[in-house]
Amino acid sequence: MSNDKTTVVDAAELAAEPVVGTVVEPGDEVGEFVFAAPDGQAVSTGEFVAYSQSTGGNSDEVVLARVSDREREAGLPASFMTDPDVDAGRVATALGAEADGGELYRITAEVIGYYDPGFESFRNPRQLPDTGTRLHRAPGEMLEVVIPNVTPPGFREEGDPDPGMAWMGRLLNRADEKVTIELPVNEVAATHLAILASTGSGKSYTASVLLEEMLKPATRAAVLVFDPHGEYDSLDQMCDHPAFEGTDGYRPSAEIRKPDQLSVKLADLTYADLRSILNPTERMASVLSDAYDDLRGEDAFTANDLEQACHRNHPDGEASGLKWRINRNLQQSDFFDAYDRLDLDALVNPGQVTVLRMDGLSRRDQQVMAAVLLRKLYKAREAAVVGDPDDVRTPIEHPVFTLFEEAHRFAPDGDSQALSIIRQVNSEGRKFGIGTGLISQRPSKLDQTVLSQCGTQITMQIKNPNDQQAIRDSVEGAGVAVLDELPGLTKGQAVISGGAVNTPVLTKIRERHTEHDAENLKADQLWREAYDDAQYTPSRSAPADTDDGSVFGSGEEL
Amino acid sequence: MSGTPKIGASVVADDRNNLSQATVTRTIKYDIPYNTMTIRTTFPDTKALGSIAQSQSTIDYTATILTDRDADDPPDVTDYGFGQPVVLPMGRRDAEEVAIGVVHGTQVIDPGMGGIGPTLGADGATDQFRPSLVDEPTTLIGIALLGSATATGDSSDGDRIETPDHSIPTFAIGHGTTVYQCPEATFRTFHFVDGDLSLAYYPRLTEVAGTFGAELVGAIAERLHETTEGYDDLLDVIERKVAHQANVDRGVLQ
Repeated sequence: MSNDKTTVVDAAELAAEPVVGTVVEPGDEVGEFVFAAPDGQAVSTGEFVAYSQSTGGNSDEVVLARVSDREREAGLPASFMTDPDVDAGRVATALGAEADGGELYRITAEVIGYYDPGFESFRNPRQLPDTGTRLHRAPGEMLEVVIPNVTPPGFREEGDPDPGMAWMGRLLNRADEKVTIELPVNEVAATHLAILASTGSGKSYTASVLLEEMLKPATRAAVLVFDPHGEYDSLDQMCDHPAFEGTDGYRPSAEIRKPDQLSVKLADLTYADLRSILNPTERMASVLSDAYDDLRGEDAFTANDLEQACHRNHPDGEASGLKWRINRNLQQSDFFDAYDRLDLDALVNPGQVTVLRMDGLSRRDQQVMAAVLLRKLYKAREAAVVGDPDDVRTPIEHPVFTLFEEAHRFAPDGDSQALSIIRQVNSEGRKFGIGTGLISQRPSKLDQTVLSQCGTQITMQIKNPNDQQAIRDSVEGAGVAVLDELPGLTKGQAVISGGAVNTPVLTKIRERHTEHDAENLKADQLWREAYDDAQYTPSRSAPADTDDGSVFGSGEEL
Repeated sequence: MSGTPKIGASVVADDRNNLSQATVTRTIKYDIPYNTMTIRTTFPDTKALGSIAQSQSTIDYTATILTDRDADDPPDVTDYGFGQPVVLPMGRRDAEEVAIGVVHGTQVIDPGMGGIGPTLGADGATDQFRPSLVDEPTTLIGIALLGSATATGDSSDGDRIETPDHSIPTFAIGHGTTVYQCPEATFRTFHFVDGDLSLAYYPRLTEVAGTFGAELVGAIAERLHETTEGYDDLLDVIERKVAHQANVDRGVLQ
């Protein structure tokens, strides 16, 4: 039985909100209109306004619109500002003008729509408000339910599961009221996520907030984090933090794998992986191919087995160079082994975040590791969803969310061992319940196919024009509104756009429950400390006058 | 009394009900003691410049300058220069309000101009055949009203006015009303509204003064520069703004 509610907010509730302006005329673009507002401060870009309009139904609908641009229509002339020491407002007052009442802003807003219970989604009325229509500030409670792309609470069928919302922060423009911004976790995980921001603007902080939400009792996600810098260690604080405690005794678990605990099983490597690791000549590649064919069916093999296989196929010594490379790159490496310590059963479990710390691994090893794990995950999920579970040793019966910090290392706009599997997961993972989150400070260095498949974007401050262009080119749904905001954002502020939200929304990311590890190093302090240490540490070189072997003899003054 | 205007017979006859003229007239001719506050109790020492003859709008008036036939000590041209502040009684009986204005232009008129042809008789004889017995050449001044204020009635008080108001004066100035020089201190006081310097009449003033609005505002600012302290920077900005606007309007700047 459906709830009998017909509107999210009715016209009477809207009338209680302050009036911010009056509609003047249609805008230049389709779905845009221009309104005049006397007080420019009240309506900033990204703010939401609403008006009531008849859409042919029994009652007027409350239509939501988003402010996209502001221009000053009238105000103080520049000639009032010839002396920086004299306040222009004083000049205006002295000349008989209202110093603060004369400003008039011409504000462009784009119509988002109204919630139509029949369609269970937002609907654009396809007509603009009439000239003279009074615009109200959109009520906060309305925004809270209509921004996430889920059925508003009042409209859900009885018995519908809770959509699993991740509390990301609050609406940026509202100083006087807290409007909570939530993201539907299902949508984020299924359609993939990109967190794009220049360094220091809060990427990993935002990702950690999302992970915290995914590990709360209402969601209990299975998350795998590829962490090249060791920034996610503090997530283990979730285990005994009261915010994550469930009424049924649930507590999240956090598995932090240190670099020396990471290894890759040789049998999991593809021929392409081996070629990339061993970098063979054409002749060696042929030998390697034969040896790989011999061993392909094996569950596990050692580097020695690979050497033997090479020798078996080419006993004439052709393989000697290759064997040297196998010895050098695989045999002597702790990273490659006959058996791995990366059992999917241990890595991905509901209510568990596993952080693979890859600091110290070479970029190639990081890529190989990601590729191997992702391939295994993909197969395991594919087997669980469509295939024969017997095909795979460990089918994974639940969806998995993977997060790639410094994603341009794994899926660069160039060659990477992990690129093809990340592409595959991003384009087809939705069917098998594998979601990816890509975090990067250089969107222009990311593979554009991978980036374009990220359905939800959390974009923070980005000033580099190349990176802005990359977002413009490959991020679907990144409208002009989003791009224009990017340079002006400050730390912790983000534009959330894409499939998880009905409209791009400016958000102040909430504070983490757990501590943040990725703070900047305090270089000056460290330098001072190092200098002081050096001053008080006795020099290792013995003074010349104590040198027993001195030609001048012990204690002799020079 | 030196400087007290001798009002012409026609003015008195036409405008007996006018407060200021009546007051002056009473003072001189009827010697009726007045107990209501008038402009002369507040400004007894100020020089009379002329009398209102015409108005173009509710804030734009024309006055004829007093001549030696009207006053013992008629004003000199230096007394009614461009930008000279003036004070006028408002046209209400028993009123304490005065209007404050500035001279925004002068015009010299001689109806006999052009009559330079040969005469038929000697000078002494032809004088008797002129159409009027009074020499008609006269000087007119344009007065732009800035606002109004309440006279305190106390000439010893430097300000002499209070509650300055820069809006359009509510009441008309009557025909024949005497125009007096406004003391600098009073002019300064007029420009302090709610304790801060104000030229809120500015938009109207430039309308009335027309082409020379910028120079007029400049002249006012110059006076305020001399009589105020701490407002030089603000006045500079205003002067620059007005001058720049005028230069743009006149095509000197873009």
